Amino acid sequence: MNHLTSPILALDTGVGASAALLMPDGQHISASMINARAHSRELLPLLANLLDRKSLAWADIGGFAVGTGPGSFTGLRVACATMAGINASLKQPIYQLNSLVMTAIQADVQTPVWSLEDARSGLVYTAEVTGFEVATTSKCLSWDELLAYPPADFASSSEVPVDLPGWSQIELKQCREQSLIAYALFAVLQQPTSLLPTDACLEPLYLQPSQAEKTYAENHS
Amino acid sequence: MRILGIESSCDETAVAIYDSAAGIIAEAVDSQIATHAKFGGVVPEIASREHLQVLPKLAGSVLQEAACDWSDIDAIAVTAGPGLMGALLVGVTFARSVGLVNAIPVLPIHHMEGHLFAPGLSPEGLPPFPFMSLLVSGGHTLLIRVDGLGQYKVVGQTIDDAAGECFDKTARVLGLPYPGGPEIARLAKLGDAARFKFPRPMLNKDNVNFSFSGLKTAVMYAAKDCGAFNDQTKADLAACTELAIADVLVKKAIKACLQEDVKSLVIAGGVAANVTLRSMLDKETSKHQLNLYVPSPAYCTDNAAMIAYAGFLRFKGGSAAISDDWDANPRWKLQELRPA
Repeated sequence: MNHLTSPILALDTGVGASAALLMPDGQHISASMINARAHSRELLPLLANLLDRKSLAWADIGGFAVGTGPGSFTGLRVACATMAGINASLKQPIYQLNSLVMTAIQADVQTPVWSLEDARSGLVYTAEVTGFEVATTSKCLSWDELLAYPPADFASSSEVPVDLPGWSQIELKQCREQSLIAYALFAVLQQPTSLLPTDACLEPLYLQPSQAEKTYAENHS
Repeated sequence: MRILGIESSCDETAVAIYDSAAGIIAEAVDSQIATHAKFGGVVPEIASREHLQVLPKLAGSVLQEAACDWSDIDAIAVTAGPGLMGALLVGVTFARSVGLVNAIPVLPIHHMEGHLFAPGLSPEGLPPFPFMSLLVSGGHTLLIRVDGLGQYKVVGQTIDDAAGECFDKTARVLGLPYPGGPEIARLAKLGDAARFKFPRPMLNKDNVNFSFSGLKTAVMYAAKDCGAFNDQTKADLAACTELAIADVLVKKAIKACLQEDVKSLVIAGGVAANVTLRSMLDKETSKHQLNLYVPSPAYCTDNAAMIAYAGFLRFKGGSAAISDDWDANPRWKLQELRPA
């Protein structure tokens, strides 16, 4: 299959919130918002507005592509809960998108690139990305652990809080909405592994336990 | 009319369907107690993760149990606060999304309002207004005069720990697992409630407020000074703790009813499942010619049936026409609610 047979709604809350409606005729539209705190209340109007712009009903949507992280736990959960609610009655296929791949796509390079996103508390979410695919499993590392890797080109949509000697940051050339459209199209048309099994629940890619679990593990190790 | 209720304010994920002609026609509660037990209390991040894992499937299974689908639902009632922000967000976001796609109105329900009206789910129904509600749980200890839907006056509340919190903290002193209330109640049956004399804080004050923080300290000192801290001592301490908490709750609740000149007392919240408290209230309300309304234990703890029912009352009262300008509110105050 090399073209869409029905509209696909794509959503990512990894950086702010971006949404896109992919149309079978190639006339894709998108929208975004920056205020992450407003996700829960403004995300649905953002999505509904996209459908209105194309005069579509929810029943016309043939599938969903969702950024599941890694990233802000709350933002990702809102995205997953939104999609779970929307799809509760529609029962359409859901494709999972990796937020680190989305950042790498923004860099718009043909060579492998490391995607780095600050996970706070001295941690970083990272994966090596080639094209639209993760070359190494997404991980949550300390910045020190990252520095044990050979220096490489990297892309990041967040401010990198440490010096990375030898590493070279690539400027992001695409906005998040463009990246979302390109990645969602790739996932739906060429990457069947990103399709979530019908009986599975859509869950964020947390990559790290809660602070309470970390503390418990430390105290009981 | 069918209302689907969703509750996810703390560590219980729950879904229920209330039918205005038949009452609750399907319900399910998924408790996270076992998950949080090893941490000694609810971990908000873990609670949020579990709600997301559980809620969509739970909603599907409840609909199936009721032999209906989303098109049969006239309104969704969801707990919008108070509670844990991340936990509330899962329920609220899911509810709003389902509502948008299926053109179902979504009503934000105050968790406490759900508890206040939970007796309405029993065959006896709600008492006539006004009534007094003693709301006791791990997070709250309140005496509320209810004059109607949305017409509440908090006449008394704890100035420090909630009664349920006191049970949990005391259980920790006794080396019992979380949640402490059921554990203390279980152990108390084997103990001598007269062995230790624990304080009844604020019992002689004019107001009907509570204070439970000193009780935990008293138990701690008693445990230290009792000599052998053996199984019998633990059981005795549990029995005395339970009695002290119940004694204060009962006396203040009766006092509040008399002060406010109301004839009916409702108990709600997780602690309301405590058998000693129920039996003492039963005795004291009879003595003062007050009517006692006790929801079934399943509707004392967090559940979605009470949320669906409160949603039904609100929907009937015209709340479906409310604006869409609301969100999960972890600090939503009962007094901010408007009459239906």
